[in-house]
Amino acid sequence: MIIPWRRGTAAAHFLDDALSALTAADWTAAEPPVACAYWPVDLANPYQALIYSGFPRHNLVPIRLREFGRFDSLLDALPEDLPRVLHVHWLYEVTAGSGSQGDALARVTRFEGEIRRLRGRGVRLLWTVHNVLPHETVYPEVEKRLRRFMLENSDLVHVMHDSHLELLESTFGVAPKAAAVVSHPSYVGAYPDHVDAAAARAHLGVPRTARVLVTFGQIRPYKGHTAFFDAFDRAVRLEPRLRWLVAGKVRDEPGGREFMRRAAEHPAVLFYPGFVPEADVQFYLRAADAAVFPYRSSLNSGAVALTAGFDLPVYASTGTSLSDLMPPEAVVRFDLDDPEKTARLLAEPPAEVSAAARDAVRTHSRGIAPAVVSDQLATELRRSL
Amino acid sequence: MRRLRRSLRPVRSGARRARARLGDLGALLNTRGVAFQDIRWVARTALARDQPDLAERALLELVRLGKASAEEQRLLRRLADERGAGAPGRQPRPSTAPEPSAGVGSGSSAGRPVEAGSSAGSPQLLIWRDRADAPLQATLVDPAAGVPADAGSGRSGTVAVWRTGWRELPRSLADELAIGLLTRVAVRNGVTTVRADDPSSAPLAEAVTRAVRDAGRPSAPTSELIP
Repeated sequence: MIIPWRRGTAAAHFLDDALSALTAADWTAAEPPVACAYWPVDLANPYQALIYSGFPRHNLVPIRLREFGRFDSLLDALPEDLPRVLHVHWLYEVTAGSGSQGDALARVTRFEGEIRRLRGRGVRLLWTVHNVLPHETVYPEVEKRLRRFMLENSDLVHVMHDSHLELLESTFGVAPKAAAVVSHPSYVGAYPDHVDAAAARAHLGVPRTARVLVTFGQIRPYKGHTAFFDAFDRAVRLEPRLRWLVAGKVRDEPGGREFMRRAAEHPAVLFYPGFVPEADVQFYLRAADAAVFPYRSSLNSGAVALTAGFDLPVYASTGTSLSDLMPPEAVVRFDLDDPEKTARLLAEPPAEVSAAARDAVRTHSRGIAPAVVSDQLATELRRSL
Repeated sequence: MRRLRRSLRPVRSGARRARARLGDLGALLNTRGVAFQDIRWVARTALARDQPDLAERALLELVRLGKASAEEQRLLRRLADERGAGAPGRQPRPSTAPEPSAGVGSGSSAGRPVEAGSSAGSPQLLIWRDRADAPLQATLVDPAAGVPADAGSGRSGTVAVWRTGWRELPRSLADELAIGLLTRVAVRNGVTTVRADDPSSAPLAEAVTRAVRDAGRPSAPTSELIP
């Protein structure tokens, strides 16, 4: 036979891809196969591929649902008594493109109706809470309503740290019916990793004697790049060997262009704008001595998971939530509003960013390797069915 | 020069198509530098003329060139699937008309249901198609409860196998799904015998039997009809 397309990449082939995946289930197992459609699909980072990597071992069949509206076609094609799950991740698509608060509210109301209807068709709802509210929220009240709805209607809510449950309840005034606390996986093994520090620095043109900090990922207002710049600039005056390696796409948002200009003009900043191809990620992370996360706020961070997978200790702002991704002995906290003190921490590295700290990160990140975390989530989901 | 070549393209293409219409449509595929639009035209024309082999060739060429649309990709998958049925490792495509007297496999006999596995008194799964190209159907038969295990009267407790959503799928994929579903039904109900009521469903009955047997369950069928 011929399959003239890449599986899971085109919405037009959704049904063929989904049902082909089901044929790989174990139909003789004591626990029946379960069709686990997940939405939205994010192929820009490996998170979803990693958390579902262990699902088939539990006879859970992950299915990429690239278009929400196609879910019904899958339900029409599933054997009648086959359990079916809709795993919802980020909710930004629900209100994306809204022109006004009323428009956003109408979209949310429609989405709620769809979810109720699907649950009426026997679909179990799993929601993973990636953040409390979207970064740069435009209609906070509408977004809160949507999250309250998800908390009230999900059969299982997945959070990545036990403190997040309290946070959800205090923010939205609703507790989930059932919750699973399963850590964000580290990205160990998710990216090519075959260069050492010397090769990575040669590739990027970073002096071997430099002390390199890396900030990886999109440049967005909530990530605090501009605020951190002030502290870094002071630190370089204290320690001229410091370099700040920044790699990521600059979104069309406030502060982006200003950051680009400052970075371009600063001799100790090595700024690589644009999306970094998978094969190149290792160069940026293997060239570094530590990662920097100057976020103003975050709940879970794929970037932390990524740098942990490359054994990097971190400098993290007080607004950056690290959940369980990092061992405490490899974390240096700093206050974005105190650039002077932050500069001193950068210039005179404490024990938390030493070689011993790298070892601690390596051990810790293997403990939350994708296979381990995926297995935990699959077990929790099975239990909830 | 390049611009001139480009401007002449529709003229050449029209002439080629006109020639192909009159003679060998497939020859157009072998023309040096043939445009993908012409290949697409060959695929469409071949389908309209009921020449699936040529349509398949044209679609394969579109895929090779990276020019096949999603619809053409699906069409090629289905077309190739239909044409490849019967090859080793595949569930044979049913004949266009039921041939109960022809039998399937070494253990079948003229006019009798094909049977895979045997254990008197235990639940049986009966699989059939009303027509060779009709959707698969199945029923559970419990001889112990007094329900006759023959093809006719055993159909009252039908198992919902076919789903409307499978209509657009390649036949082999729909068959694989049916095998999975029937395997589940067999395992859950302690089926020890899988019977096929017509030649076209016999390979599926065999596949279900093998799947259940390979699961190593005590209730699994212990013998099989078709080697």
